[in-house]
Amino acid sequence: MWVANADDEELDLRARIGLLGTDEEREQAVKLLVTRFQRPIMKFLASRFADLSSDDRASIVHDAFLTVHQKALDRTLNVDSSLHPLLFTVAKRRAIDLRRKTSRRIRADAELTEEVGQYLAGTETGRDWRLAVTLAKADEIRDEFRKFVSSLKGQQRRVASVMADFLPDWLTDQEISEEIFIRSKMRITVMEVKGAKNALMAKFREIMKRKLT
Amino acid sequence: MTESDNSKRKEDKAVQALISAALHVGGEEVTADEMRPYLCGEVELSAEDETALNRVIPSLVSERSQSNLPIQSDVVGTEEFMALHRKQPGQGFSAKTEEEVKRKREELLAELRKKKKGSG
Repeated sequence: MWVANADDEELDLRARIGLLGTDEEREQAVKLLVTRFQRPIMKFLASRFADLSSDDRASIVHDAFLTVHQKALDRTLNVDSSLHPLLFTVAKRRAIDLRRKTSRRIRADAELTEEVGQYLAGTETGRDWRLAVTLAKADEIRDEFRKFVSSLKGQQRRVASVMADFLPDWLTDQEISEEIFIRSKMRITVMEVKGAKNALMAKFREIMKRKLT
Repeated sequence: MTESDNSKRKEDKAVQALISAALHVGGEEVTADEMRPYLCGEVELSAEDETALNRVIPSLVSERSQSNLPIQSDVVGTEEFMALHRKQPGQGFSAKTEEEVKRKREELLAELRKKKKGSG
């Protein structure tokens, strides 16, 4: 498992010390964290929340640092563990909240996770996926596919970002198109939604096939 | 609809479900593995992200209650990273809390000294 490098560990430790200090030390600590982690968190959000605007993402990054600062002020900050996982997590949850605010259709996480199995039951795809899990290839497939999606631009990426929140029967292609408009104010036709979905499915199948041969 | 159409639809839906599961971002904590790609090496941002970040981050937050975290429009764009929230709760903290904070800080300082000794 990857662990933070020594420099990051020391910086994190210095920041925690500062956050327990005077006002000035706290500000310095936040500055230290901002300098090191603002760009990684921004990039992380860009890859996971491509549908949010740059301004929204930047605002979320900003809020994450303020949250940590506020926790220090409230004496509720857990200084026994590193701060950067907390910063990433706060930013991710804020982004999810923002997405949920704009879309009333999004359901609970658990619902999506639980229902995936029902779609796989009795299919070739399900059998292949089980094999991928058995061969410990499932993570590789997911990672490669995510990487592929984060390299996409335009319609395919927007469709992928909606697919990330909805299982197949939860939204029609028309509703996907509407959801994209709600999220990004971009209009895309039902035909374009279909095309993007087909391209994404073809890529997923290609990766899965390659990893299983 | 023929049986083969039906079967193709089922297979397509199964792939779509796997895509949803692969791309879904849940509210669980971000893991070290998820952070790794963003913490190693130079991070390149798009021009829009770069501009947005430069506009928002070096900003000042007024000394109002933090119960209301700022949204984009609340953030004042100034080039200086200035005082954040300096106000503590009206009553302050109990002596025990302050003592504990002090103790924790000493503990972390000792850890830092140890780290520096180890690397130096």
